[in-house]
Amino acid sequence: MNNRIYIESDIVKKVSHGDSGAFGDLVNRLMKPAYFHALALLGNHEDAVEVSQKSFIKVWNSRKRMDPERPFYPWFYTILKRLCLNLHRDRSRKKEDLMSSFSTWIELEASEGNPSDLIIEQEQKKMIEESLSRLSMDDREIIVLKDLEGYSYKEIAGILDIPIGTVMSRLYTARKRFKTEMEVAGYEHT
Amino acid sequence: MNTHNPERIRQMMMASIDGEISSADEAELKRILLEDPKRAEEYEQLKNLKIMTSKTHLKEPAPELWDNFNSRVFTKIERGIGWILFTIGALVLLFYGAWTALSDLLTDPELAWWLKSAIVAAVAGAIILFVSLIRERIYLNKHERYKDVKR
Repeated sequence: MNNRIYIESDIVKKVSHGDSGAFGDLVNRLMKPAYFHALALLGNHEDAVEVSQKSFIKVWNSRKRMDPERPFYPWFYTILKRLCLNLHRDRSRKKEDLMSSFSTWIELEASEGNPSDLIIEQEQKKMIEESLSRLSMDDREIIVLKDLEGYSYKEIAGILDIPIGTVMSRLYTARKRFKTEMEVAGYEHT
Repeated sequence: MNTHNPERIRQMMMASIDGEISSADEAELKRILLEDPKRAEEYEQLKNLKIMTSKTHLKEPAPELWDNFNSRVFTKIERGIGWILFTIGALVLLFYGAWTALSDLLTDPELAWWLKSAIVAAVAGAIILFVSLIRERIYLNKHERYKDVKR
């Protein structure tokens, strides 16, 4: 598994036995992936901070159920995603405009193009952000993991605990829907 | 292998777009796309979109977030423990107060028997409802923890 999200089994074992130092180490190592994955699912900074921190609290409260022999991050990601789904569901129930909860959550890579290229790229970035925000959480999740965060198929399969073939199938479906949203947003294929 | 399996073709397209395809599969995909212009067009469109999205990344938060993240997690855990202790203490005091008040009422010789019975029934009913609610919450928490997680 990717170094960013791999946690050694002895650290997991220590946490499961209530070692708060090991838990602090775990938080330090996974806070960035946790935050960014929550950001991808929810689309705004404040919710991503709240949910990612809550996920670690749930891990601590469930530490006796941890299995040091199994990869830690897929289990953790399940907790994180469930919290994101619950937050999303609460908003739907309150009939809040789900799109309004998305703030600027994507940035462009640094570019050395000329000013007119930069303007075009900014416009495209805005379209990408809007289109991704309109996708379902599952579709957005798989595109962000692959295209924005650069995980391999094997790593994504590990995080989501699904077969590699399913990763590819989900990617195809998600990208088709993303293409449709981009076209609705005014993107023209060259 | 059945190369006309649509699912297989889709997977090869994705693997090619993402640079995770073998050279044998790449050659096979190229042949399939040459024979299917509509599929080839779809492939190019998805590939161009991937090139665009790969130029973006998730927005970095202010660096202070990382400095405080760990301590905030521990603070929230401490506060959770604090709230639990406070709630237990408050409940114990509440029940003690209720018990004292009830004892005074039920031992009052001037209070009619039917009134005392009504008080006992109301309190017993409230306790049963409360226990039932707690039990349902515990059951749901234990057995349907991941029901909302889509796979």
